[in-house]
Amino acid sequence: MRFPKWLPAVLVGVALALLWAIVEVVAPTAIRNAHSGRGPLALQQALSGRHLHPASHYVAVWRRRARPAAAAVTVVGLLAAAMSSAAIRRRVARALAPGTDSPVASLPPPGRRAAVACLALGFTGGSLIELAIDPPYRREHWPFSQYRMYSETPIRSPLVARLLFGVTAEDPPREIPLQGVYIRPFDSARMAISWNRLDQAPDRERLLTAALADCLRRYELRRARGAHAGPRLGAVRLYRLTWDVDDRASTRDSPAKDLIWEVQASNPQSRSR
Amino acid sequence: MLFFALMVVFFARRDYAGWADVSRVFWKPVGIVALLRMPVLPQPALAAVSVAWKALLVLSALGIFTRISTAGAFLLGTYLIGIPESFGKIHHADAILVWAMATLALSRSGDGWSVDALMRAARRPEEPSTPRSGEYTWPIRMMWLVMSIIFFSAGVSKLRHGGLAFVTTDALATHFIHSNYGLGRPAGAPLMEWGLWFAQHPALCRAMAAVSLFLELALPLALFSRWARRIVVPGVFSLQLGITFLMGPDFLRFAFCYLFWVPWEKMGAVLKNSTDTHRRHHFLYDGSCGLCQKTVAVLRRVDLLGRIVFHDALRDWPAIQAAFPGLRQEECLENMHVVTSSGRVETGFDAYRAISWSVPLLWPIAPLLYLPGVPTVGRRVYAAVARGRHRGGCPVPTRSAAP
Repeated sequence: MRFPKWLPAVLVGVALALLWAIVEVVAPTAIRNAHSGRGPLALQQALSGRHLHPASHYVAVWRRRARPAAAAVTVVGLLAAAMSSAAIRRRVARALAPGTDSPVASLPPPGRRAAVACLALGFTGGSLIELAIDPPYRREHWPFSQYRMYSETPIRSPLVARLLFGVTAEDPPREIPLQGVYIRPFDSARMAISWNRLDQAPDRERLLTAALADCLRRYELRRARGAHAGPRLGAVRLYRLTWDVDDRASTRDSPAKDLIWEVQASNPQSRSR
Repeated sequence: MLFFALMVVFFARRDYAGWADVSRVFWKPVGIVALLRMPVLPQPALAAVSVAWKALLVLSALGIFTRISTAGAFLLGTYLIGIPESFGKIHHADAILVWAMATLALSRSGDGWSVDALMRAARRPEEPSTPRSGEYTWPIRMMWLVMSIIFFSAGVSKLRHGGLAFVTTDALATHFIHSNYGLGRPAGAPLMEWGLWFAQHPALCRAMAAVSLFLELALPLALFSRWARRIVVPGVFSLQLGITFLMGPDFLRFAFCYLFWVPWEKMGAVLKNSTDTHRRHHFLYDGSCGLCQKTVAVLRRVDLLGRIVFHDALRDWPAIQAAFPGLRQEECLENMHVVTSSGRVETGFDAYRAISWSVPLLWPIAPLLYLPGVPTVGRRVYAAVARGRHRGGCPVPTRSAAP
């Protein structure tokens, strides 16, 4: 049985029309209905805090997320529809063909060609969708990413960072920044981002207490094993460091320190501000 | 082989088992880790997985059971690399390794320089080394695609979030300055403080930002244009090197993937052609003997620079006789002969010892062949194998058998 040549393009067209109908009409209507207590229970439960926000808020959130994704799918769909034409395929193949100076190479078997195409399309499609939906920084759909590093325009001053310090169990006690071997398997970047998240969480007190106690426990455990030669700690403190930045970085060693949280070794449940 | 060797070196001392001991308040699974609900295994299990992964990386680097070892390295590697990503921060240089491992797991990378290839050559000496096929080019193109999309995405993200502010404002100068606030920038200290000097020259910083953005957006051109490959690829490599030097974050793992842009075939051809033909060793063997054919097939594989010229003492005897009139065919068929570049004739074990100095891949074992006792044992083993060769239905043909 032979399918007409125009069938793939029509199918793609219908699918894209359906997609946009869902994005623009069906889903917003379903959201409005769910907001007013009608429709599927799961959707009603998904609209958390609907007594606080109007339905238009949820529709706007939906559109902000769905439109870029639908646009990416549309681009991929249109490309697929175009490539269903033998004439276009031939042109693309001609354009991508190796030059006359390239040695002749045979093709891999069909099974592997299909696997390779899936890998290439999977990576390309996933990356384009990730780029389109642009999830919040550090919340990418790993191993896909939109690679947002250095994309925000930074504010030169002040520079703020959260950093963990250990308080030595000696008289008088000293504060030492806990970095490198002291916080393994974390590295400083992972640790810093974790503090940012935990400090801004709704139940930050519980989370920070548990997290600081865990850091202190692992520090002492690794010290006892000889994994590092740091001093015994009596407490750990999380600080917010603020630098008044100047162009020559002359203030790098003199940040303002604000205590965020503290956990003492003698009483891991203890905490103070 | 090189890619996995670098992976082995980089990850050899990485401790993944430690993550099992970290409180779950830090745990925030991302992407595929969340999708597949990958758990953080208990410490002994995580340590075992980590050891297994490193062993698979070593096997992949050596090319032993390559198809299985690369597939295993990809699966375990995705899990192990994914676990730390879910503890606070996604390191952008890690994901590309997962894609590279996926690519190599699907490829026939073991057909090139690998122990598997040597063993296959020994088993089936009549097969050509590696036929020219798309099998061996698609992994390279795939990694080109991966890197192009990654850089392109980084460029688009900059435009999307800041418009042209990355170029038209002091954004890059500010990044340079912030990078020198040690505790304030946990991504790592820059290798040098030159960033502060650049930050004093805003126009220079803007020009650097413009070039960086252009390079990121232009890398996909390298998929199609040889000129773009020559300019943009070294450009983005320099860009990442510059970030490490001036801003701190290291792209060492990313740098492994630049191996896929190196024209190895051309470099090999240049190196082969640079070898002076007068400095080549001539290896004479009995072409009617299966064992000799296997030996030659393996030597051809390891002789990447073409330092050895192989002669079948049975079939090519007239030419051999013309080139080396002092040799006798019966002796050449009896024992392997090597005529060194200086004209010295070595036989048997000493022939192997002579060629071990001319083939770079054999250099590590060459000194071992001179250790006290080794030559004595080696000569005896060679003689025993040669005798067995004749008894095992591989007789030395008489002169009349020669063409």
